Amino acid sequence: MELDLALARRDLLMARQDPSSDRLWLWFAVSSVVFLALLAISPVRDYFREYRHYQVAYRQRLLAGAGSSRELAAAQAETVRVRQLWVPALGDRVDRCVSCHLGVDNPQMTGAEEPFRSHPATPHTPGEFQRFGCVSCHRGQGRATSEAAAHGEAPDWDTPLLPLRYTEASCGTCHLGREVPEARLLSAGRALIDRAGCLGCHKLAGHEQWRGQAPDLNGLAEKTHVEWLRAWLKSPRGLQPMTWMPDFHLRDDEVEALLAFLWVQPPLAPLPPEPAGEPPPGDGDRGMKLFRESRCISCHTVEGRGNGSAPELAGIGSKVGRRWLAAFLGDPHAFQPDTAMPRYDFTPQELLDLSTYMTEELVDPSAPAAGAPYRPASKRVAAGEEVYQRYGCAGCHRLAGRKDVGLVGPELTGIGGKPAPLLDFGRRDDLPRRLPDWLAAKVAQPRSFRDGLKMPEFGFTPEQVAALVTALLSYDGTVVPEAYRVAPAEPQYAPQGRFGLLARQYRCLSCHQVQGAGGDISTAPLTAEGNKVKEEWLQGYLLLPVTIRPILPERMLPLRMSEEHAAFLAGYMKNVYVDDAIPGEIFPAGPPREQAERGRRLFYERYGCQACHQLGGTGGYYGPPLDDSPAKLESGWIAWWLQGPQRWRADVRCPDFGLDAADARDLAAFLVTPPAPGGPTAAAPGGQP
Amino acid sequence: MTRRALAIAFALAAAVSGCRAQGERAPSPAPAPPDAVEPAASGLTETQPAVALPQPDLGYNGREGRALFQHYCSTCHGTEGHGDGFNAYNLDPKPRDLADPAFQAERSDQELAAIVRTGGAAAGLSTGMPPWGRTLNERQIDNVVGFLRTLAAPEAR
Repeated sequence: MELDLALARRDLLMARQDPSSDRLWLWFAVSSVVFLALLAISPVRDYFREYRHYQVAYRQRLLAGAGSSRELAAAQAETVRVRQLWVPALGDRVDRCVSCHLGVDNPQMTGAEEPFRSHPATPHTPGEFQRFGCVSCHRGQGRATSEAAAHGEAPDWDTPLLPLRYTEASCGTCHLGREVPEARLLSAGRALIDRAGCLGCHKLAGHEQWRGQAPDLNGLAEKTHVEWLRAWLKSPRGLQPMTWMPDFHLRDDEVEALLAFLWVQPPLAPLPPEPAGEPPPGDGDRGMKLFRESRCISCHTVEGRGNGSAPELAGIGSKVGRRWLAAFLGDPHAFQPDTAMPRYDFTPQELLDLSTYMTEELVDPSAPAAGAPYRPASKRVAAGEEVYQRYGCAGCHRLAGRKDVGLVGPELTGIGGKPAPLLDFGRRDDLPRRLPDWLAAKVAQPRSFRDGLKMPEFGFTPEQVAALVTALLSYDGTVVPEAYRVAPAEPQYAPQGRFGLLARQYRCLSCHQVQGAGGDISTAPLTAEGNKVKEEWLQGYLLLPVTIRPILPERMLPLRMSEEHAAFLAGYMKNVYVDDAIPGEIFPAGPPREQAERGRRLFYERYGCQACHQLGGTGGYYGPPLDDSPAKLESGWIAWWLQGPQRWRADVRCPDFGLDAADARDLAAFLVTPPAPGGPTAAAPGGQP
Repeated sequence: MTRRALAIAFALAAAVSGCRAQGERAPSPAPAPPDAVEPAASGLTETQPAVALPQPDLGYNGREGRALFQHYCSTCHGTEGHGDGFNAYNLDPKPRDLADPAFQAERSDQELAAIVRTGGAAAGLSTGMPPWGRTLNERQIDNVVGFLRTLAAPEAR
């Protein structure tokens, strides 16, 4: 043992005398320090992470703001640590955002500065943080613990934080339907994708059934004149600022070729022969009256007034000829089989008057006048066919006998999750290299990226661009588990039989909804119309609609149908469009007088119904006038409606007063009591309000 | 008052001239036309409130408050809250000017929310203002109140 120690001491002494062992000592010392420093990097970096600093600051805020000893104790118990939301059901999501965003679920942090601000209230917050985590709505990198990495600003992270203005896009990951009721921007964007015709060129998984609303292109030579069509192809919005048709910026030679191709397409229906000699003159004044009575603006606009789902009619006289217009109004479905427009039962004289008024008065002085007859060269026609296919015209328009499908643009499936490095920014060096900015520029200025692109300019407003970008971002390819998915079934109602034939002639479902199917121009769904109104009233209304809501431009069309049609439609709806949950007649022996009197007082004094409804010459014009209720409405329906109007349709404006059954019955009794000969209503003797 | 007088004058003019007032914008929508319960022969009387798209920069709650106000409230209170909506002329008392800074200053958010929730009658005011507490949820009511607060400073919207 002693020998060993002695030997070791000798070795040490010898080593000291050796200069190379000195260097070894130095190396040893330096490497130890370096090693220690290396070891320290990680804890030091962690020590300086933002979240520690924020948690200390947040704790101090809590301590300062503590109003009770309990809050104080809770604040004192807070320690600095990584905090996270763990969501096993969403692919084991771990979101550490709450390590910095400490006040998300603390209502006292409303309006505080970031990162402490409480999360604003939405349909899923503050109740469901644990169900969704953070990243499923906001994107970013949930596991990261530094700000830059968490916000997804790392170059290798494909899904950076979604700018707040587009957060609604994430609602669309689970809510797959077009309408997401509480996500207005997303819903507007999805509707816009449908309406603007994006899907005519771009495929999008799940939307294969989309069909454009653009007109069929057959028979343009009968419909319009060549100068108009040429100007239109050059610049649709130049002729009609309201049009949905985008501007393809066609070169002049492309315009000429397309013009030639379109001009030779045969009509779907021949124009009925005009009587020999001069056509009988139409009466423009009668036509104007008819035009207004017919409530064209329930769908169309005239100088911007009207619903706007159908084309603007100012300038129609500069576009179409009188003879074509008369034939079209006589049977729109022969010329445009898929049009939403109903076929009114106009008489030949009415068609003449109406077409005379429209072609003489609804003119656009700046539109080009008809020129010499046009006969396209066959070479041009062939070139035009190529233009027609290259720009994918068939995506939105149809041409009988051709099988073109359009779809000339890149597929949009998964576009909302496309990593920014895969995007072609072309010459747009001004754009931040981010997906939302790229999408916004694509829809706003599609031709600015490089030469030779085909996507047309739509002239979207900034709000439309934001809505579209939100909707596009919602198609990010994420598939959420079944439990998260909200996919409303596509309504599949199509009326059958003779009723179906008439409903298609009058295009009832262009405006009205039945069992969720149909258009949204009317606020009146027909699903349970039979419960609501009396058959005689409905029949009369179909023959001559009264104005129910003067506030709306969209009103029922007087379709000039025969009494037989009206009786048949009313009878069918009365018997078939019913919901057994809604009671029928609740006063078989007539409304009891004392109930009606109590109802009258409830109407005027308790619930203030006259604020919105006309009755007996007074009241508002917000809701429907109620003077005709005795002849119009079923008592059981009134009582049912009053106990929850939003059951009829979610956006009904009549507030839910929370009426009990007795009040609802009394109000119903009052409303179905016919007016006495001497007063505005039978129950009025008690005095006017 | 000038605004109201103008609107009434406009409405009369519109009615007399066959209701063809195109290209003009009344300071407020015209009151109910006389044809309200007659066959639809009125022609183009509509001044439809512009179908405005959601404003992306308002934030979720701002967009919701604005949309709910336009949907449920603006018919009486007016699109800018001045108490000059389409239906205001049929009401007695008339809706007040919600954009008036003095009114805004004297009402707390809680008070405004209470009126929206339980209606005018519950606060001893007009029954013309119905209770919305069963139609709108608390978040929606808060967002409507949030929108009301922007009425006094329209440029902030």
